Amino acid sequence: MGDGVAVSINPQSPVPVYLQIADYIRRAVAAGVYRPGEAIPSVRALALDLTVNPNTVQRAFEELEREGLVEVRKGLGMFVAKNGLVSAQAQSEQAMQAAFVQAIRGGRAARIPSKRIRSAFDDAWRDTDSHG
Amino acid sequence: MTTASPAFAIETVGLTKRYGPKEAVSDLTLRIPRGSAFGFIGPNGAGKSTTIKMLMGLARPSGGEARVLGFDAVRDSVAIKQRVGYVPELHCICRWMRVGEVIAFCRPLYESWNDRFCADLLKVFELNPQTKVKQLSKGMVAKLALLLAVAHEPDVLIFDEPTSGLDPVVREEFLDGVLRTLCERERTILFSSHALSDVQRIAETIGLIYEGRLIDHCRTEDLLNGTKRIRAVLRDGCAPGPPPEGTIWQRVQQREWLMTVRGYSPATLEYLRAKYVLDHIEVIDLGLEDVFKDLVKGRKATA
Amino acid sequence: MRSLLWKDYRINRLLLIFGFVVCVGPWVIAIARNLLLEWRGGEAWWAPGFWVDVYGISLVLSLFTFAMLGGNAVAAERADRSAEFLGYLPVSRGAVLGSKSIIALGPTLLIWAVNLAALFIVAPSITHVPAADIVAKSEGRESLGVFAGLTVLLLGSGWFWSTVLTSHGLATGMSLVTLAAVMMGFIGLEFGCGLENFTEKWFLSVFVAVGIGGYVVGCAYYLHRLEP
Repeated sequence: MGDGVAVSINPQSPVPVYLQIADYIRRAVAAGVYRPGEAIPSVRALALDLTVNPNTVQRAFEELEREGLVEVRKGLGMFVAKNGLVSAQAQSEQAMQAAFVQAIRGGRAARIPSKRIRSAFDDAWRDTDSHG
Repeated sequence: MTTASPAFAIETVGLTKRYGPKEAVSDLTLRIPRGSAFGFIGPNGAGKSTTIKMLMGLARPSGGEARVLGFDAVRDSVAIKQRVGYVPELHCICRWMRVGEVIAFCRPLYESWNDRFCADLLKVFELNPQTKVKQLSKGMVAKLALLLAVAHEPDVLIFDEPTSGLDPVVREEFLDGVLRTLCERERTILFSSHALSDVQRIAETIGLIYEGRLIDHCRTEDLLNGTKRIRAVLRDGCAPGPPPEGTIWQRVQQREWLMTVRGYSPATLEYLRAKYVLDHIEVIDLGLEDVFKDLVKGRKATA
Repeated sequence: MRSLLWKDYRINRLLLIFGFVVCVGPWVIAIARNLLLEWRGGEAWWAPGFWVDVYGISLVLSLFTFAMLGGNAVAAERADRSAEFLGYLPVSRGAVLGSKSIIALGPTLLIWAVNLAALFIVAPSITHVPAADIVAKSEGRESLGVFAGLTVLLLGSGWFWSTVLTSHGLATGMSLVTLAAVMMGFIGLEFGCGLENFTEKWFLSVFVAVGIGGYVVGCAYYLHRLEP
């Protein structure tokens, strides 16, 4: 019950649960938790761990399969595809891009000058370098 | 009584229930396919419990019909109860019985009782057969009710506010128990709940009921993806007017115009940009709780 | 069905114990008293009158048992809401009524059996007076026929009130009220309409009719109703 997987989905979030699950798996692959060729947790295991409907987990898997991140091996389960890592990182890059866009939009809405927005990015970069 | 396997696990057609002059449920038509998980949400007194009672043959419909697995809810009620696992909102298991006695009482009534599964659940839920029901805490009673509902391996689960009043840990244990059952084989589940986080976890389809009427019925993700809140900041001198189509709730505060739109699309933004002079416009994603609240607030405002 | 019988027995267990004590108690006390007298060297009264007195006490007290057996039948479970629990279990309402009928009728018949056995088997063998004569002694005092009629009336009307009310205490009370109403009906007819003194047969017929009618109507109502 919740102690196999170190993440929990947020049911209050506006992001549909199946997308949250897909996102988690994607990030795990991008970070190297599951390597290409390795099995990812089964539908049942994830459903019980995250306390969600198994059909929702299935939906997430279908989404990931479509992206090319995972592949089904008949009778064995879901495995990370050969180019899974590439696919995951491409997706992560897109997510990062979206986060940047969101931050910039927020700055513009608060009517912060463009120069200040750019220098804020540099400050943030330095911050992560020193503190990780 | 049909012998063919019906396409819908649960079906109501024009279901109505009147208490005196008041209609608790009005013309409710609902079709839930086999194997789906349906979340029934709505404010207190909207008619969720009444609908569920009619499905379980505990209340007589004033009009329309209700069928579960093809069986009529009034005529073939016992057949339905054999195949449905029901957890009510208010538990009324005989308080003088011990846990073991309750199970021994229920077991011979069901054709498909699974002793092994029952024993497993007793262990997982940490229920002591010797304890009297009146000595059990609220959470333990809820777990016992769940055990009784699923131990006979029903095809359909009908839950009425099953986690109300339970602390977060017990709620998790309860949901875990429910999921074990769902993972085993294809089962249909209908549950009403105020715990919208539970609904978002378990339900694939949502039915929103308000004042006895079904006002929305769609997949959870469609509801979330299709309902957005728009924050528009109007330029000085521009007054708000007719909102875009599908607006279910709106509020104006100074220059800020907030609206929640059901059926949001890029056309919604185009409409606003074309009709009004805006300093700023942003689209905010909403969680299920916010969608629910805005729907109800909006209805109240236009009532 | 066995499940149901066990449950209904457990719910009524205290009442059944009360019923047993109240039925058998007078016999035990009276006979023990007589035996004690004899053992002390005195003369005990074993005449038919003794038997008639004791069965009279036993049955009069048991009338309350019968009223409560009827009143408890359905309403006791509504009072603690366990009727709702039964409501969503896969049992037919017919089976529910059948089990409750057995639990109500069984002890009633048993109480009567004890008293009838005492009168028709034990008494004649001790007093050496034929049973018919013993019973004849009770005419005008505690008539077996009237007791039988009252049993049916209290059980049946208690049953009826139990199916329509949610409190078993009230249902039991209403069965006594029903009896009072029937009696007032008789009195009214007697003095109001100047009809002749009613014979025992009249009382018996009306009591039985009301009792059986109450049982039948109560069952029909319960079977038709969907709410627990």
